Amino acid sequence: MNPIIETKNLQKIYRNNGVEVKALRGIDLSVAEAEFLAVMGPSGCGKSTLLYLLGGLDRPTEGEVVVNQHQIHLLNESQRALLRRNVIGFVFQAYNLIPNLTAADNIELPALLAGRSPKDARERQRQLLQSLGLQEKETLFPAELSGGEQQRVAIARALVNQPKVLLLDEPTGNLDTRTGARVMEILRNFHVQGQTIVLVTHDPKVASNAERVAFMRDGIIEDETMLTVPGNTEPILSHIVQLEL
Amino acid sequence: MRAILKQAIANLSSRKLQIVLILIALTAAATLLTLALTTIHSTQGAYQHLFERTRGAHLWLSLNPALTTKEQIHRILIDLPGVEGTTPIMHTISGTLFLGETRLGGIKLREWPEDPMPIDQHILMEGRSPDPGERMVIVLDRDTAKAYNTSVGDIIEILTPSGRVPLTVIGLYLSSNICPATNCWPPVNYLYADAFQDLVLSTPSATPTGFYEVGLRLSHSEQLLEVLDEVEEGLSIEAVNLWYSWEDLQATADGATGYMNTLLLTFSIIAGLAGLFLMTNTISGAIRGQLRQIGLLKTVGFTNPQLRWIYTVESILLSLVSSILGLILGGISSTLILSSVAQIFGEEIITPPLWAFLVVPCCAVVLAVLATLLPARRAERQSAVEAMRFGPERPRGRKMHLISRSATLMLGFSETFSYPLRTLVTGLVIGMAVFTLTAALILNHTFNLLTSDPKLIGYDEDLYISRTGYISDEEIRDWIETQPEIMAYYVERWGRIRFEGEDKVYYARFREGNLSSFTFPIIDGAIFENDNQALVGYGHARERGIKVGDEIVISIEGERMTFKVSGIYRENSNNGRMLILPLNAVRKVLPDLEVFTYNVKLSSEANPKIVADALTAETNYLTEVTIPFTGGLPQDIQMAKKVMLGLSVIMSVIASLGILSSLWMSVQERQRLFGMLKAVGMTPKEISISVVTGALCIAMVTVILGVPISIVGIRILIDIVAQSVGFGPLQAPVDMLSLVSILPALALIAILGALFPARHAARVSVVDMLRYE
Repeated sequence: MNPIIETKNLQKIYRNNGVEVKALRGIDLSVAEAEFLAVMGPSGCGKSTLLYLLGGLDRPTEGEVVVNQHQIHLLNESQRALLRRNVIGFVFQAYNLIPNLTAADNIELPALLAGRSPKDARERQRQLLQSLGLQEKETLFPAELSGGEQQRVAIARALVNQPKVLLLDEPTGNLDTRTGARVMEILRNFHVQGQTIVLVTHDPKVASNAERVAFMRDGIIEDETMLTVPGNTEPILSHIVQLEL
Repeated sequence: MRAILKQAIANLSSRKLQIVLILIALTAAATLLTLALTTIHSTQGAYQHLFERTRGAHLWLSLNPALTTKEQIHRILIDLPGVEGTTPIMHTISGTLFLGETRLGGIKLREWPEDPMPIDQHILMEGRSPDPGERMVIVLDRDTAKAYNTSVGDIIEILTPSGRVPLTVIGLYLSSNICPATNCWPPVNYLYADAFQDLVLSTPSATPTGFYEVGLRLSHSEQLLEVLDEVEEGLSIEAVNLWYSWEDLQATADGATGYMNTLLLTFSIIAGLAGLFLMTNTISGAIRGQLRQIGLLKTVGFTNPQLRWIYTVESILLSLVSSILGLILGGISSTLILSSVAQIFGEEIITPPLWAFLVVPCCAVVLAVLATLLPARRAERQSAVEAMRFGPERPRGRKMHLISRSATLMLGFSETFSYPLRTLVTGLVIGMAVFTLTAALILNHTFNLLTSDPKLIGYDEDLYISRTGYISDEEIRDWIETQPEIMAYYVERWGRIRFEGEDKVYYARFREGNLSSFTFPIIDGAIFENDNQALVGYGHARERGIKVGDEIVISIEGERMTFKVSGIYRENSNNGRMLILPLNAVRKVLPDLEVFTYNVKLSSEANPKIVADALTAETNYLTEVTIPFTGGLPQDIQMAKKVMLGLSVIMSVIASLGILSSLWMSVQERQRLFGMLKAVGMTPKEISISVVTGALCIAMVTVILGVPISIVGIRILIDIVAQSVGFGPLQAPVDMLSLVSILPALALIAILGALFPARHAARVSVVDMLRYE
């Protein structure tokens, strides 16, 4: 199967007050269409940076990133924004919903930005809210929703334009175990329907929902493992022990 | 206190851009205030200064040489009680001034006094005074020289009935007898005595030519009328051709710059309000952004009054710096802007009065305290626990739904309503600019309309003719009556009247001729039809409650006269406190009253210039013929237009700064939001558009609400001013087309103000935003 995401020698160096921090030291990664990849690693290993580069939120210092045949490393900021709008969906740990828009408006916003008609955007929003069990929350503002509800709205927002790739950065990091599990169940359902997902987490339980897990340390991918049984954390834990992550 | 000061300075240094914006706005307000105070001081104080410096005369008498002699005048004046001193009795004649072949205009000539004048001393502004025995030289009045563009060294010619006499200009002088406005000409110019005698002697007249003029300095200026009565009693009423008081000169001086006071004061208040709103907005924004810090300060033991003081000290520091900058800029600009005013009073330079150095900072501090009241109260009320928990306050107010395809624009609108107080205050800052622009456009339109149709302000004449003493009344009338182009004319003479039971003297216009052929600006009633009727100026009518049909009792030269009011009219002079009386009626009291002014209406085909040239040539240039409104707009109006333009620019800049400040704070607070929007696919351009949309939204709402409110307010103001100056009720015309131009103008101001914050918002890094989650 053709990769929908491919990186070659991906490097990212941050400069802060003259001090260089090598966040990524040469990542070669390939994600197939409809694959569910989890990236694991300790804090500061560069997994979020990798996700930002895949999503075009930042530019690599060196190397290539190709998403859905778009060479992201060559695009300017506006082109990357357009790519995010149409091809990539993002979900963050802190939900990052727009506080002065209702749940419905938060979901419709990317659709409207992408040029969909308000009617289409509304239909898609309702469809998503229903599938996420939030149909009665559409008029509420983010501050009026629980953490789990906010994250579900964030997922709906990320999926409203039917992106080729869904990128998630610690999506359950701010949620309790039960709510986190509910969110992961939703993501699994979308994956089953053919959604490509790349998820960054440090939680083996969350990562166990993926098909493949990549283990990162100090800006490089040290190992990978395929998961055959969803929810089985054993292979992950053994890698963690083996790699001393 | 040290802790408060330390915290205030720390706050200031952490918000450099906002501080600069506040400083600019407050400095603009302080500059305008300084300028206004300097203008008031320069017109009121400077004339007083000049009057005392030159030992000005309180009473000027113009006496008829045919009815009195220098000796008689001297005898009367020498022992007159209440008279501190007098000028020499100066023989004065009229002449016409030529420079090359160009006829410049009429002037009054006097002999140069041999000895320095004890009263009404002259300040030699340029050149020198004549040496004894020096002939064919002239010292020109400074205003004459300026108006006729002549300077020391030029050779001018004076035309007298016996021909042209060449004279070299050797000096320019100034006295308290200033005449900054052209309507009090011809000014007085001095010739050396010998040359003057030549001109007087060469006049082919059996009786002495011209008139004797003398200035009296009184011990108590309020005794002016008593002194005048004594003179008239001693010499006869007829011998006193004309008199005027120092108050007339003071009024002329005030009139030259009086409207500047009003305009500058009004707009310094408006600029001050804009500065107040800007400061309120910025401090309020700063407090909103510092709620966590406020919580911390409370935790470490800051009390509510101490917190209030932090922000008050901040504002006071800013206002003091602004007022110093304003005083400097106001001082510099006043020397530039008011240089013409300075020249009027013979001052080298006009500087802000000392008391301005107290008033301006005081006003600025009051503004600062007012600006801090509301936001500081909010800081006081902030719960330490809440502040620490939530950090910056969440947006308040209901939000707008995304109802259209243009999500970018809707986000801009939505943000506008998220911070209603900030939006309101920003709107008020912009509102000040809307008010100023609306005022400028309405005043401009009113001025243009009134000057394009002078009938509206009482000018229905095509020519004004003034005769000199060398031509008789009969000659001029004969000439006028034989001209086919002249359809109608009336004669006018000014005189003084008193209302029965009052001491104050007012001017009146005495008229006769084809009055019904002229359109006088009569508000109520009609022109008089017989000698027992009178027209009353709006100023008198308003103050005294005079109505059409009422009877008024006045006295002219002590003679009691009763008139029935036939109409109330708009009067441009003396705050509308004038009357128009039938000349015939006045002649019952003053049978020998001569007229020198003839106001003419021409046929529609006639060319006023050709008729004017024909008359001046026919009378050997011994008449002054003026065509109204040929020199474009009057100087006062031109200056007022420039002032309004300047104020509009200042207020527009302040409005732009207001938008910049407000959006900058908003962008700073919304960095995270812009990061989120970028993350979901919004391009930098779309983010910029959403920020600019917010600014445009505030500006457009302000224009839509502000223009109608401003129209109503300004029309009321103009009406009040017009009534208070005696012009009568005035519904200022509104040109809606020109007012529509405010919309794009404000849009431009909003875009300019929003550009920088929008650019900043567009550059927000998503990664940086996410990194600090």
